[in-house]
Amino acid sequence: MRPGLPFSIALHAAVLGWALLSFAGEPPMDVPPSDPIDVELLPPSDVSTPKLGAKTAKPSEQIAPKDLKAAAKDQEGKRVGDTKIEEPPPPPPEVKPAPPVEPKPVPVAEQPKQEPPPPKPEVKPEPPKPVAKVEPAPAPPPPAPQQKPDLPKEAEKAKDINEGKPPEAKEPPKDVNALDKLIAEKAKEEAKKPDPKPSEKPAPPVKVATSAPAAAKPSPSPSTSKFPGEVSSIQNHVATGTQSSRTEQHASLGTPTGPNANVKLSQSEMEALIGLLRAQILKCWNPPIGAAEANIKVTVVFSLNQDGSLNGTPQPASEQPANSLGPALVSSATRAIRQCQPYTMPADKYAAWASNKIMFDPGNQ
Amino acid sequence: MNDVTQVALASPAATISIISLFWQAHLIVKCVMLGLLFASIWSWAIVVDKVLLYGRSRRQMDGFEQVFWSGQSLEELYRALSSRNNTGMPALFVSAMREWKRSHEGGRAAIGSLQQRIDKVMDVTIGRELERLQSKLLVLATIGSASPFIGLFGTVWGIMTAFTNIAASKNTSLAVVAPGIAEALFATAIGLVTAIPAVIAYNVLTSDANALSHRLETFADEFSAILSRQIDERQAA
Repeated sequence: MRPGLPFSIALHAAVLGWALLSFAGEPPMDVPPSDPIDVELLPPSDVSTPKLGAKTAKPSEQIAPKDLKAAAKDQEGKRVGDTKIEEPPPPPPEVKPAPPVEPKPVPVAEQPKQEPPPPKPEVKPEPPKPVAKVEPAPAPPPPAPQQKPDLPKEAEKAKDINEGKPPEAKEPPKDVNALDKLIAEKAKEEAKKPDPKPSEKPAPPVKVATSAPAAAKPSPSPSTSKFPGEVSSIQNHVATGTQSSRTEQHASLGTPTGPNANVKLSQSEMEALIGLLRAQILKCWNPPIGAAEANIKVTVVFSLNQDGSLNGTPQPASEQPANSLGPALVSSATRAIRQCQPYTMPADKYAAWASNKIMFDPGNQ
Repeated sequence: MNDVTQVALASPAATISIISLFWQAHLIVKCVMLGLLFASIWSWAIVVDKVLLYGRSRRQMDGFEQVFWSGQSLEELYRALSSRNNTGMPALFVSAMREWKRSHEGGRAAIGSLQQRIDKVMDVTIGRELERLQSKLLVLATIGSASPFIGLFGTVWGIMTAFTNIAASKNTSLAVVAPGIAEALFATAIGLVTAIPAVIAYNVLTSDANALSHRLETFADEFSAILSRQIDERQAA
């Protein structure tokens, strides 16, 4: 027994010592640093302020593309929803939260009117396209005088292009009249009297909305997207006292909280909101039996009011899936959307969930 | 074998030295590691002792059997051995011879049940010798079977701690996760390093001990047969 313990201790000491020595000298495994990815963190205020306070043209130009794409998405969605709703009941004052988005086209129309008396009413509705095509042009906004000459020219081009479309021609005049009224009112009144205006507005926005999408369709959507943002910046320049109240109604993507509401939601926030909405809808969704096995999906487009209730009728975004269960699936999806309203969503981000496109996939519920 | 195992286990953790692995560990994991280290030292001490003891016993038996069957007088052999503190086969021989001598002391020899007494004495001696040969083998068995679990316990505890730390740091990058897991796995490594030699040694030593005890029993039977013949001859005489 005597030799065992010392021998064992010596053995362990030797092994440990050898292990320590052999590994001590080894350089630590250096993980090659991965290529750095430049990430610039911009607080939302950075993104939104240029838009609101773009009194110098250059910065707004740089930032505009990003903002406006996002804005365009929201806008397009809202237009669809709004047109549907507002066509049946002409002026429901409650619907206003949504309309604010459309007015963006309006400001463009306003702009020419306020400053250049010459441009005729017909010209104004069309500017959306010209401006959109001339995307690089956004620089001009600050110097208002320069823009005036440009717009007419572009408008003329637009006329040539759009002359074939009767509906636009008919509606614009109404807009113009309405807008003129609005502009006149605003110019007279000072800020903080938003209440009277909204009541009058419902009519014009609707028309603008209907006309705007029509005009926008032929031209690529991203180009139209630039337009509203630019307009808002222009608007900011032009308008003085009433600016704040205006932006509330026109330029802020329909959020009621004023200029700050221009803050864009990040992609993840958007997804989170959509996920929240989707989760609420799926609770009520009872997919038709066999739909999961049929491997069909349907995407439904619908818009919501600010209180979370359904605005208009949900519509399938595309054609119904080519399957005998397709209609049943669509109806089950729309039923689910109707049943689960009102949805509890963060009201301050209404712009992000005003209009929604949700895919119903029975196989992946 | 120990060396090989430790090399294989330690090399993946080259980033982290063994010392840092130990010092960074949670207190309980440290206790587990130290306990396993002591268990390893103990088991190796037992293994070394037993290997030496069995070798010695085997040589002793070889030498004794050689002397025993050489035709030397049993009385002389007894006289030579009885003064010593014997173990193994000589102890067996001496105990049987002592009983034989005692039975013939005095005026009237107690030969009637001498055969049974000699067998009893040799059984007792064999039992004592076996106990000596097999002592502490159970410790090896225990270490061999329990060490992996102890090491696993250390690992589980270490991983629990690691996950707690990960949750606290709110970061799941490999740099945060890896060290905790590595030091936790280190406990299992030590447990295995301790257990594998212990289990193998236990099996080897047990079979050796059985061989030795079988040899002792064989010798006892043979010697018993010799003594029995002597007794019968004396009774007949």
